[in-house]
Amino acid sequence: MSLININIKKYYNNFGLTCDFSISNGITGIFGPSGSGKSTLLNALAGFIKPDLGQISIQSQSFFDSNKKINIPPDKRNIGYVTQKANLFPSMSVDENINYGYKKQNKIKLNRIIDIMNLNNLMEKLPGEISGGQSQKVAIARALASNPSVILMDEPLSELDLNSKLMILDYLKKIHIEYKIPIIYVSHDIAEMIAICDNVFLINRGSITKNISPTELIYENSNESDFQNIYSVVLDNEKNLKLNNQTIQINEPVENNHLTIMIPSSSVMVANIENNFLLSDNVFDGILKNIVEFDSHIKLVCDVGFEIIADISKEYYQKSNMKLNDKICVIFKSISVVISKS
Amino acid sequence: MVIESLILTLEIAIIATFINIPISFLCAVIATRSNNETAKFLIDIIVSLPLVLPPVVLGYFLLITFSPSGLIGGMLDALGFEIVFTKFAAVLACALVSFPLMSRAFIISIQSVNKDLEKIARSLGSSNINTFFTITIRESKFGISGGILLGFARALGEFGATIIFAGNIEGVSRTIPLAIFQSIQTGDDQNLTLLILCSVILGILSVSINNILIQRSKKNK
Amino acid sequence: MIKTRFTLIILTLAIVTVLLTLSSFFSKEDKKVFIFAAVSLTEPLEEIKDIFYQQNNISIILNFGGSQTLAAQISRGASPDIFIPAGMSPYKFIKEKDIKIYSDNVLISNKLIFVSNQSINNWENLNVEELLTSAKINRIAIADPELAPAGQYSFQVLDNMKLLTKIEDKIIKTKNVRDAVNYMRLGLAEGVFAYNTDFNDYQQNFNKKLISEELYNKVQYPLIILNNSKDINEFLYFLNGSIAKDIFIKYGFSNP
Repeated sequence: MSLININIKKYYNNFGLTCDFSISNGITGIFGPSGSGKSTLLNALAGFIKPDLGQISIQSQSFFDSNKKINIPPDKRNIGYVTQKANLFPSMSVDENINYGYKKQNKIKLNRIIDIMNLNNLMEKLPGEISGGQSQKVAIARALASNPSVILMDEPLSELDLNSKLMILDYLKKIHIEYKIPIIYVSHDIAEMIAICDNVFLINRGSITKNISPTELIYENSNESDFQNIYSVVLDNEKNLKLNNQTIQINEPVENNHLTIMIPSSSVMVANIENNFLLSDNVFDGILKNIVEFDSHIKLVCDVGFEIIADISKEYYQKSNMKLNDKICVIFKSISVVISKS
Repeated sequence: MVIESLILTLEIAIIATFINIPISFLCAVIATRSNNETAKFLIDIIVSLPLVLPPVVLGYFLLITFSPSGLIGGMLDALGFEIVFTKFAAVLACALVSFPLMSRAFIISIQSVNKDLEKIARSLGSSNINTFFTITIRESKFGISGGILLGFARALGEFGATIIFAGNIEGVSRTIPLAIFQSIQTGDDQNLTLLILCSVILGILSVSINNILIQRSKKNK
Repeated sequence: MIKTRFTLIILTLAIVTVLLTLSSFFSKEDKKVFIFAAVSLTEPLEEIKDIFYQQNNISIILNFGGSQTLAAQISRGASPDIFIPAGMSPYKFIKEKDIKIYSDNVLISNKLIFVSNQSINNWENLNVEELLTSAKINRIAIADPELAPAGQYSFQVLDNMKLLTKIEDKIIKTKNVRDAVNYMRLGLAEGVFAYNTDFNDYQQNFNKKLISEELYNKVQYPLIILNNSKDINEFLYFLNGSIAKDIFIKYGFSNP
């Protein structure tokens, strides 16, 4: 069942947005280069831009209809909006920020949000006194507290450092599990998209071109060299993490039960030998599922019980004589696993 | 004479400032939030003209408008109100001359508020008007109070429009600048020194408070 | 919470503004006799105002300004009861503008003097011509005749003495007679043409010389009545009486 139906046209002097697609529950990614119309689309959904033609409806409620002359103002649309910068209200404390859109009659409970997002010790602080990652966390909690029927996120992680990115991804998953609020997630970072989205729409020059699964994104961006494999994992014991049925070893002990980890594709090694006698922390057997050639290097998509992407050089690729569906083994050091800290 | 004109100056400047606050707000809202280009253009003229015209010219405009033979003055006269050469005339003169300083400061500080904050407030269910008061005004409060102070300081020093429109009447319109003029004209050196001292102290005070406000606004950002 | 506090502040401000504004409207009720007068009359008129109030309990509102400015204000709708300019030309000006005048007479007169801040030997016995051409006096401040009657009288004197071309280079024109006096006090000029009444207050000792009254038209202060009421008549009676005349003379004015 589709939740959000969008069919709009918006013309500018040198740019036009033409979108006709439907979004269902879950986290939907919208991926495209800058200037492709991602932000314009979100602004139209939230009601800050009035399309020239078309309809927007969410959960069968019409927000915009050029034929029926319907244009619901942003404050009546009940859509959460999280921007690139946290944009907390500078003169209000974290508490006041979160309470800004909160209404008592809403079924969503403020205390629960504060607990999930782990905000208890930040409540009295002013936005100037907390870090970028913490600010973005507050911004998400603030959007959540207004009990939105959908949350729009416009590159919410692009301004953050790696550790904060992992932390926020972690929280996004938690709230998605807890509240099941559909999220429309706009970004141009493939790793983020693969890590969080259920489903991705490609947008280019103002039009939706394709609807793909997140891992297919790897074929879409030819210049991507640095890629992060991002996973949600469960703690097994202090230095071992469970991902699907596999165990990943890490370098330092952690306490959180659920956490997000990141393995850079450049730290992952692939060998077309079929044994696991190699002495390394993390060695997994699996199958080579895909080979993507780039100008500078080659990306290998491997299935070892979880999907992992590795970067290898062209020389090594030719020497190793690897082919699709070959049995391979994947190796990475425990020290190269980056762990989110909240 | 000095104390009396000091109190009168403060009284007139305060009332003029209070009159200017809502009008400046209205102008700032139209200038920063209206989509109507004509309205913006008109506001631009309204907030610029009193700045570039000599105060004497402004006083003259007020005189011919509010005198019993003038357009507005005639109507007020019929109702039994006389404005020219009253304290209210002094207030109007001060208000008109200080208006551009206040409204321009309002416009600048409201323009400098991050528009994304307003968008987010709207998405959180806050109406247009509520957003303006709870976000826009609140986030520009130091700029706005600076503008109020600037307008007030200008009203304290107003001379040209006042002497034309409200005259130079002790206890009615003889504010410190007019009393200084009077003392120079009559050679009253003793009062002149005191009056100039008052003027300088008031000036230093307003500049210092303004600086404190600017520093606080920086700290907040 | 924030909203209510904000509304409260705005509301209080609005109420205060309205009240203060209204109070200023009512203050008009106190006005009894409204007078426009030349700035040079400030001291005697304020003294007269106080005595008159004590005796008759009628308050006088005095508005002082340059005579020509006051005349222009009257022509643009200002309506004082009495107008006392310095000199006759502002009177002519309002007459031409068809302002209704009830009556007029000359209230007092003033004398022109030459004053210097230089110590010149034998000042007492030298005449004005000798003083003006003295080597010690290089700059003479005179009110601009286009702007102030005092300047017209001063140039009349120079004209009649046939000195204008001789000392032309020494003359500095100022906006009004008081500015001319201040030029000399500040050392920007060594001599000044002024009214006898312009030197009442100064502590410094300047050398003064009265100028023969045959050299210029009489400096007269007309009393122009623009309105009619019992209070006005009461004040006019007082103004022409001996108490008022004595006060004017105390400040250096002369009878008409």
